[in-house]
Amino acid sequence: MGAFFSLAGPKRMTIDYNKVSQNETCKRQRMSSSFSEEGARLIPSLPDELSIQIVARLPRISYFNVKLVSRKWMATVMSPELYKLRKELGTTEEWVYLLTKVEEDKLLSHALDPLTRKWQRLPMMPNVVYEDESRKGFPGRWMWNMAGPSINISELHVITKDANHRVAVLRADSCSSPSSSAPLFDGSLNEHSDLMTESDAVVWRVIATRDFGSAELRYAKAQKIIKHSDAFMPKVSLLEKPQ
Amino acid sequence: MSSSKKSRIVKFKTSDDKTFEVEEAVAVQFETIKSMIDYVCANDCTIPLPNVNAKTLAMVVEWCKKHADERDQLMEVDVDEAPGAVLYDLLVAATYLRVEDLIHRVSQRVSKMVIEIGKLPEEEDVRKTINIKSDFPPQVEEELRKLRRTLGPLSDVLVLFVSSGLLE
Repeated sequence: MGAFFSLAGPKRMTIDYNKVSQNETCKRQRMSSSFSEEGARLIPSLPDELSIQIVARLPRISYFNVKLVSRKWMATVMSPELYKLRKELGTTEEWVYLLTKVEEDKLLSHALDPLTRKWQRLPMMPNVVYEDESRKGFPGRWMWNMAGPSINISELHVITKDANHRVAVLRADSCSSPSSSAPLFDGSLNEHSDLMTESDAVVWRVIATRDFGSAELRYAKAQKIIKHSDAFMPKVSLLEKPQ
Repeated sequence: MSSSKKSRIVKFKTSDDKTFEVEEAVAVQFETIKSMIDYVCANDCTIPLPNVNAKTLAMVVEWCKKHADERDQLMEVDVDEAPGAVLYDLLVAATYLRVEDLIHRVSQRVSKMVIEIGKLPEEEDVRKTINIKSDFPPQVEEELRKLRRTLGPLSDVLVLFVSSGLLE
């Protein structure tokens, strides 16, 4: 942060001000709090009340890019209103979060967007208290049942890690004709495929895999993204009180 | 609408000053005017639509006439032929008349226009699609890009910090 402050020195500030239109300069004070600015719309030919209907229907992961479209877009993507609307529209997304242990005292967390199968590395979480110490050093394959109380079978995710440290995220798909679409297991997972296809009506699909090297998988969670900050804070209780 | 009942006609005047006659069966789908149809028909009134032009109203009417399962098809054609502007007009009209399903479909079409799932465009692509120019000072934008590249999602946290810092 300190280093960044020095980057944003007075020299650059001067240049920025010249680039900002006069109209904006007058409103700078107000914009710094809310970014709201008359004239600059999300989509020029639409009122913002309608544009936000469109933004709320974009896949969550695209927000990382679209927030750079303009200041208005950035402010919108970070606004609680947008997430409220997504909730109303039922476009709230669920991401899968993984916490891995790279080495002693070094944990990395990752998020997977099951829709686009894109991984995101999350900020480091230095102060982690393990909920369950007995999990430490658990050998071999790990598996969590990701089902929450409100999640139906088509949203069931399971995260596995094999001996080669390869983590796979699997999703249970309700399937009308299980034989026609073979599960997408590859070599390293074959040995357990019988265990995973307990019911003929459910096909487990590998929706994403990732090699975390020697990192040990410590924690994983599927979580609905109902506000902007959710994408960065998979589980607040994990962050409390370092020992 | 039952066929035994004689279908009434609701008259509209569009923003481009054209009179438009719409069957009651369609007009009841406009939530905004639904409750006034009886009064309007009895008194031979014309409902003004100051922000819906004739072309757009024709599209909305066409949409309302279709069965639910044919509507998607209609939208496909529209998108192929029409650039964003037509969809924007349609969204404004649908919102004004409160045709909920149409609002939903148009919003979804535009959002797919902006971004296709699995194919995430850069901000510049989005700008082109919606015809907007960046209003970030160039150096700020470069900094934001750099942050995104090196820090991934973490840059969100810093972006907030950076932007407000520069704008103070």
